[in-house]
Amino acid sequence: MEEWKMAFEQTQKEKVMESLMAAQRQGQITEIKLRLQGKPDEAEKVWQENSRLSAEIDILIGQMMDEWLGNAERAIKGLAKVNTKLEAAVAEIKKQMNVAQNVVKIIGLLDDAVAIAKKVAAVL
Amino acid sequence: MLAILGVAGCASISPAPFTALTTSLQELRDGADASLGVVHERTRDRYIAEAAAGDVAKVEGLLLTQPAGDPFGWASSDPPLFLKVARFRDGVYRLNSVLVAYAGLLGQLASPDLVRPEQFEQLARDLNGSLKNTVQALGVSAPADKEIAIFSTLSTAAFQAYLKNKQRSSLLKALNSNQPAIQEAADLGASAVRITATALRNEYNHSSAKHAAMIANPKLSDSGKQAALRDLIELDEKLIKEISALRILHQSYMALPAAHQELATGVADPKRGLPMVIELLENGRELYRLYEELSEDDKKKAAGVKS
Repeated sequence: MEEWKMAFEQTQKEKVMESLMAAQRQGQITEIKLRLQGKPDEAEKVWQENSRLSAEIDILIGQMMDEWLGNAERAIKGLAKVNTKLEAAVAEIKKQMNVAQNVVKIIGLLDDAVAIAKKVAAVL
Repeated sequence: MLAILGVAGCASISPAPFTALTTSLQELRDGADASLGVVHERTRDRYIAEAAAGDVAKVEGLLLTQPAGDPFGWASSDPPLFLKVARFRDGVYRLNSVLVAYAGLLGQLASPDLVRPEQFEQLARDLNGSLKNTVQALGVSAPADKEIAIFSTLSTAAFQAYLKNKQRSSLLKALNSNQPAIQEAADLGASAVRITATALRNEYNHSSAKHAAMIANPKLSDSGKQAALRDLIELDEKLIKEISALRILHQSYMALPAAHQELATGVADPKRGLPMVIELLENGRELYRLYEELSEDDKKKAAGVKS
């Protein structure tokens, strides 16, 4: 049996995102430290720089989501086709059961038809 | 005939693993949607706070325009992240929904109800009755009732064996041929969870930094600082629970292809165990517990705010 991979590898984009967010976090920690040390002007500068980085991170998250949606659309369509085929397989088995039930019914009807034919023949 | 009866006598397909798969995928769908609901709410709240603080570009981004020649479209000079999160959430839900539907259809194909023994017993009885009457009506030299009954039973058993075999082979064919599609969907699901975790952490970074800045404000009273610290701790505790839920979701998507593969080997050999299917089911239960806990926390917080 084939072994299915449990581990995963981060994509290049995920690695970049992780580094950007680590830098942003470091910036936030530096800003707070400066505020606690009573250096609000320096803290403000760091905050402003960090805001630009935050805007870039937001854009990248949005891009990752858009990219994912593009890939998912294809997969959703593929799975929808798979589901249609499965529905057909279920319907096929049900249909064969119905056919068998109908055959038995037809045999019963044949019996009636023969009885009627015999009556008609007797009259003639 | 003996060969056919042999097939009819082979072990039935157990529907339990298929039901477990459907339940697990429903939990996955609900869990992913709940997490993205949280991300959507937080990105929207942050956007409102930033726009209200005087970020002109953010206000402009909210003024939607109509794209040329598209009476039903909308565009934004700089689409807000929360709108992208909403679209992403919808896409993730749709992907998970086709997976749930797929598992449900596998369940139908594996169901003993599809080829029910009672249906065949009835069929044999009906066939037996009809044949006896027809033979009599045709006036042919009638075979003994017992012989007609044996014929009815055997022919129905043969048909049952044929359908059961068809059911099993259709199921196996579906499981084997759809393995790559399930692998692809599971990879996408896992990737969606990692993107969700990134977006969630991003919102946490913003909120926690805001709380920490409040604590660093020298003008804030001691009780005010304590309240801000308490909020920061609650934020941390919440993130830890939310990230744990996402980790379980991620593990579940990673386990899905192996669980799907196990279903095929289980149909071919019912004696084999189903550890990955069980793992999926347990993950689903753990997710449910974590979300219940998070929802309880929210309720308590809301009640605290009201009082």
